[in-house]
Amino acid sequence: MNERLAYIIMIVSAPIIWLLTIRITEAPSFLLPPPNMVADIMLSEHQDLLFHTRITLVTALSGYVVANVIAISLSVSFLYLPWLEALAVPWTVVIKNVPFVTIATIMIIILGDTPMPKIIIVVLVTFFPILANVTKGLKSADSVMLDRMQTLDSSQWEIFTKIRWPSALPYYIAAHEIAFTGSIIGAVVAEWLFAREGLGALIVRGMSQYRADRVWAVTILASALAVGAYLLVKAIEKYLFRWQVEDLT
Amino acid sequence: MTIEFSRVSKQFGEVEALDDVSLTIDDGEFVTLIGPSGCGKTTMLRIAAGLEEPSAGSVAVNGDTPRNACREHQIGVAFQRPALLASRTALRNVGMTLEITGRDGALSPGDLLTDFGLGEFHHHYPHQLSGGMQQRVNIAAALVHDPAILLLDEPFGALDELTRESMGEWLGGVLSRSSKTVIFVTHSVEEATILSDRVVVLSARPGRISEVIEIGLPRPRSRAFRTDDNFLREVARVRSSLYRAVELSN
Repeated sequence: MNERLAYIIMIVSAPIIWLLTIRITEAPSFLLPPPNMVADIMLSEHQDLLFHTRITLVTALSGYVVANVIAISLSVSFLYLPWLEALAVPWTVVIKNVPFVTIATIMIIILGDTPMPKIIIVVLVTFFPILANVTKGLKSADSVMLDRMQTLDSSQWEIFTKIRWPSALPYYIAAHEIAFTGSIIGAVVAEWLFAREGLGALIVRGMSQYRADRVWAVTILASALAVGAYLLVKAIEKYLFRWQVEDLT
Repeated sequence: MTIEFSRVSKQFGEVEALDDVSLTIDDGEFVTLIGPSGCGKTTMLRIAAGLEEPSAGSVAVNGDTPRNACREHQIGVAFQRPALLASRTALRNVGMTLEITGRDGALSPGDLLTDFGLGEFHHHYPHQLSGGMQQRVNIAAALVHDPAILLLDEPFGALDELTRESMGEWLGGVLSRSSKTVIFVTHSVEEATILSDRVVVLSARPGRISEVIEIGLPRPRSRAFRTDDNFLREVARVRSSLYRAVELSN
């Protein structure tokens, strides 16, 4: 089946399932607000929602850029300094597996309610898929290609730009599929934990006011952002690797 | 350019890949290395390419080290698996060699591909080409900077029998128009016989030269030649020598 059609079917059927659930469970609207109520909120409070969306996006993107810069720098260093990779493995394992809410709490104690701890959380969530994939991708360069380059007496720079980076590119894009969406989820969770602004903070506010309709509006908005991020990566991937699908005939 | 192996030995850990191998390849000569697997033929070729260092002995390319020959861009290599980038077209894959070596004295990638029968495939990506076409692009990439030495490691090993024959014929034609010194590694006795001036038969464990056979056949050697009695006699000579080498290996 056509992928686009499947998306359309999902968008149409989701509210139907939603309405059916309300009908069957007879849930009151302060627990499970109907779609039209949520849509009303999204329209009437759109200025407020957009303001907080912007805050979340800025946090997510800042953290994501930092994560990319650090992860790519480390991957490249690992390629040329294997001892550094050996030294870094225990650190990455520990940092990756410490629950990030605890790190977040420590960051808030130290840094207070500033953008910094939120950005750090986004970095922690998105950094590892990029590091792992780019490190693997750089090493995936074809050995016969590297041999040929060596017999041509090419420089390390040429080998990197012409062979290693093109080999790593599909891995790097695959990392974006996970990590770019993760940056938005990470930002929302960070705001949910401690911030006064952003979509995550709106969820907390909606909860404390027993405004399920607002929580639902934010949920839909945050999901749309994350899905949009994923689809954007897919589109870039499709464009970059368009030569793969070009047919002979 | 000449290539001279002087008492070359090579160990990989416990394995003795080559043991005291000496061989001189003359300027413009086509020499094939053949032998059972593990006889060190690929290792010999890789040492000549400067990709491996001998454990003992030395290899000289025109009196200099293989690494220096690489620096002067005198060596072209092609292996069984084509060294092509999936994201570059045939033309840009061939052109990449020149991006690295510079264009001094080089051939034109486009002309070379057209000459290799790939005139309509300049802008095709490797995955859009058949195995034989990919290997032609691969060899074009190895030849485009016009090196004096060509090192080929089973370039047709992954192709079907008929494609393999026509590729061998094609390579013979291409090289007859140049004066390159060639080391060619193969498993095929027919391929070795039809292409070579000399066939070096190696035995395995440790890799040693078992016999060197001069192929006394006139050139050019076309497809019709494959059914010629003289050719078949030479094939039989090489094959019996190979069998002797296999026996020596066990």
